[in-house]
Amino acid sequence: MNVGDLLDARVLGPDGAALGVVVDVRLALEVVDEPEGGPGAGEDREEAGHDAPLSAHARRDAVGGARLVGLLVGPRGAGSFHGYERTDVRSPWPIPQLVRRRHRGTFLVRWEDVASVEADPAADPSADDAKPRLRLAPGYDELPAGLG
Amino acid sequence: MTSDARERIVDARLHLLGRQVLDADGEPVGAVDDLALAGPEGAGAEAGREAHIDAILVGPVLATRLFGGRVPDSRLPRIAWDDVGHVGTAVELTVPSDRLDAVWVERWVRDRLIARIPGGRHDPEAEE
Repeated sequence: MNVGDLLDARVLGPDGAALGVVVDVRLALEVVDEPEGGPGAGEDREEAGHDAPLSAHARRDAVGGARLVGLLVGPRGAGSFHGYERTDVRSPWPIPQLVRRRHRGTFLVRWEDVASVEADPAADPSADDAKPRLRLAPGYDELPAGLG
Repeated sequence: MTSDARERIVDARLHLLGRQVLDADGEPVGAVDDLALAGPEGAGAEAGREAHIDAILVGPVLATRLFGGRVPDSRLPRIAWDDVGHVGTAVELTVPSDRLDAVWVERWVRDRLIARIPGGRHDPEAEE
């Protein structure tokens, strides 16, 4: 299974109700110590305010494993995210505000709450890039989608 | 932050897919086209079970972007996630590209075609 298979797949609730599509896949990268404490360790950029250029937030971490945390499910399809709705970036007005409005209702489900990934009967079976269909487990949690 | 200090939370589409992959020398290898998931102990990823990124898939996806369809996974060159050193605006590897299967086309062209052109073995960036 690839991340690309999951993206844009339809998501159903435990009762079969359509909840939306997978708009992104959330991962947790294990951050490891730099052997020599190299540049861009991240901490020195924390003081950059919310209105600082995005590049000031750019981090470069030495990483270890990458764990699959969950899926971001959006009710209105992927569209173009630009990431605004998952950060607290406010400018340039009004683009973040409009993108956020379009993606209201996007939530995070933990991968543990995904009950099955199966072939989508609604998809054209002859299509090579047919997306699977995801069903969530009963009692799944809708977590906030923000990246924090 | 929603994570503790030892983890960095990223979204695949936002932070990884399409990013440039650089080898240990800073040479571009390709772009992240897809990420392969795997379960524990090398098993396949399953819904609801613990899963992690096993490999970066880089490869000739331009044709499928233009014409649709998809390249079978077996034809997409893989770079093991273990070879990833840093993730920033680019994905930086800890191995030189000569050791990667992902750039075999480039290596083949260099050794079989370019090297046969007179002067083709000269490295203009090499120190005299």
